[in-house]
Amino acid sequence: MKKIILIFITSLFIGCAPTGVQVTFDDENSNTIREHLQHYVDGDIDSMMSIIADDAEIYINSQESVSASDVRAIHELEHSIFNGISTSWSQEEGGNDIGAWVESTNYPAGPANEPASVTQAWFTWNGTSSSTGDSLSIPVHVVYSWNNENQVQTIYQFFDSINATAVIEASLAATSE
Amino acid sequence: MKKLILIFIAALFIGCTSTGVQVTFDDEKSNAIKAAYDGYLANDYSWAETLYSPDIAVHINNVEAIDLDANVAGLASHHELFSDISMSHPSGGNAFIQTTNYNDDTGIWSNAWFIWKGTGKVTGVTIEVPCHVAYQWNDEGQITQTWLFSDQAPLLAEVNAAQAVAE
Repeated sequence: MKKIILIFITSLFIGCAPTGVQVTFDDENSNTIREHLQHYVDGDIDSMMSIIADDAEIYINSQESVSASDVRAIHELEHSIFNGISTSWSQEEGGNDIGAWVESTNYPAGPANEPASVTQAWFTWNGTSSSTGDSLSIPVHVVYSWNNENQVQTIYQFFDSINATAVIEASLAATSE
Repeated sequence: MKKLILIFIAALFIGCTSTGVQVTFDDEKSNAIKAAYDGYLANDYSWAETLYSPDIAVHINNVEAIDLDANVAGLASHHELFSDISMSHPSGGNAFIQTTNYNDDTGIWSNAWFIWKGTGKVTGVTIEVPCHVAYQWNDEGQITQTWLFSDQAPLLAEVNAAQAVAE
C-alpha cells in the first residue's frame, strides 16, 4: 500500500509538467495585461502605466532599453496623432475578434536561468491618422516580465516601425503646415 | 484496490495539464525549426518544401501574407545584402525556441525569439534586430502559417544603400 501511494505521488509530479512550464489564460497577470491594453486603447495612459515599475526596462525593437516615462510620451504621441486606435486578434480570418491573444507562462528555474513569470500578447494594432487619413494595421508581439511586487519590470516589444514612422512623420508635417 | 487505480489514473490526467497546455523545448517540432535556421544561415532552403505546407501563409510584419516561394526568395536576399549573418539568444547561444500544444482548436504553435545580426555588404554597418516568429503546425506535421514580428527599418537602410549603388 505504501508503495502504491509513493508511486501515486511520484506520478503526480512527473505527470504534471514534463518541462515544469505552466501556461494560463484567465489568471491575474493575463487579465491585468488585458486591462492594460484596454486602457491604452481608451487613451487612459495613467491607468495603463500604473502596472509598470518606475525603473522598468522597456525594449522596443532594440537591445537598448528606454524608460517608462519615455514610453508614456510615445503612447501619448500616438493618441495625439491617431484616431480609432484598437487592437484586434482572431483565431482565423473573419473569426471572433478578441482584441488580443494573451497568455501567462511560469518558467521554473533551470541550469542557466532564474524562474520567470511572463505574460505575452499578440495583436494587430490599428489606427488612422487624424491629419492625413492614413490607416495602419501593424502586427505586434509584447512580452511582459513580472517582478515580485506584481509589477511589470521588463517589456519587450516586437513590430515593424517602417509604416508607423512614415505616417507619424507625414502627420506631424501636415499639422505643422 | 480498483478505486485506488481509478483515482491514480484520474489524478494523472487532471494533474498533467491544469490548462491542457504543454510546453516543450527539445521536441521534434522545435528541433525542426532549429534545423531550418541552420539551413537559412547556410543559405540552403531545401528544408522549406518539407517543413512548410504548400499553401502556407507567411506574414512578414503584415496582416497580408506571402507564399512559400516569396518567403524563400526574401530569405535568400538577406545573403545578397548581408554577410556574417547569425541568429542568437541575447544572453548567448542559439535562438530560443519552444513549442506549445494548446490541446484545443488553437492547435500547436512553435515560438522563436532571437537577435538577427548581419553586416551590410554595401554599408559595412552591422545591424542587430530582435525578432519573434510564431509558427502554427497542422496535423500532418507541417507549418501552415508563420508570423514574423521585427523592425525592418535597419534592413531597409541596407536595401536602399544597395539600390543606390546599383543605379
